Amino acid sequence: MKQAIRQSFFILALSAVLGTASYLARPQVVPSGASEHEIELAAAQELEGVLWVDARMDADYEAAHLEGASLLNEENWELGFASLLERWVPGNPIVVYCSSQSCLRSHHVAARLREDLGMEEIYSLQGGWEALREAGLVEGGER
Amino acid sequence: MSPRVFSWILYAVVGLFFGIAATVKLLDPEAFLSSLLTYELFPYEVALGLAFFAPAVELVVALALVSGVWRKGAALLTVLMLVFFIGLVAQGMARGLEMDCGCFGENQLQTTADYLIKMGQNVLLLLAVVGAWLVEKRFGSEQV
Repeated sequence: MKQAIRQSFFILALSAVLGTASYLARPQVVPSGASEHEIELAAAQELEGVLWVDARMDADYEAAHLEGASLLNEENWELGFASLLERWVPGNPIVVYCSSQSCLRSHHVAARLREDLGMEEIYSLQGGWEALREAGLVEGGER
Repeated sequence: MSPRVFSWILYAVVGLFFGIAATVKLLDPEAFLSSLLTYELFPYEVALGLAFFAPAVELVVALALVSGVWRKGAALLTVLMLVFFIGLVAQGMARGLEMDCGCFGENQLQTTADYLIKMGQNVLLLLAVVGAWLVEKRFGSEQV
């Protein structure tokens, strides 16, 4: 048993090295520091002049979306970004939502917006569409 | 078939499952991270770490089970991981979550049957690795 435990520690150590290398080789594939830029629905509603952005697929947006939300996803970035610039008042906060807490689209879109617009007040909504639906702000609309 | 070969086949089958599962996750860590978040159990930073660490462990364990190098340690970790996986799925079922297991890519768990099948798969793998270990112990084979 001692041998098995010792070997398992070697395996875990080797795995830690491999896992770290795997992350460092392409850190951009996952949004890092995402929780720092998450915002709860109640706090988002308090933001003055907030612009809502729907980062779900086009079909989901067309089926249902939060009133006043702009469509912007990575599939149609150019079009969506141009449309967003027409509606966004520079300096005003932006809150991006996707389907649920487990979706990462809103984090990607929010990170890209922070980079492109050069401001920090761009958040990803905690709970996404599910949170909006539970709050009665939207109806229907699957992921 | 000799007990040694039988034992190796059992280890190899489990190793193959882990190897495939690891490869799928390593190729698309974002999808696995998203799956981990559906468990509603891990904070984002923990899930992010697991998205890269867990597949690495699965890959090293798979190679160890098949090759025989560090096999005892790999078998121990396999048992611990499978028990952990069964526990994760069970808590999801108990809480009525709609989870994406993420075990072999996208794998939605929505109905009780989905959950039971997933736990059954893990139990079978658990039996296979314990069986291989017992055969190996009984017949005193270190490596094939």
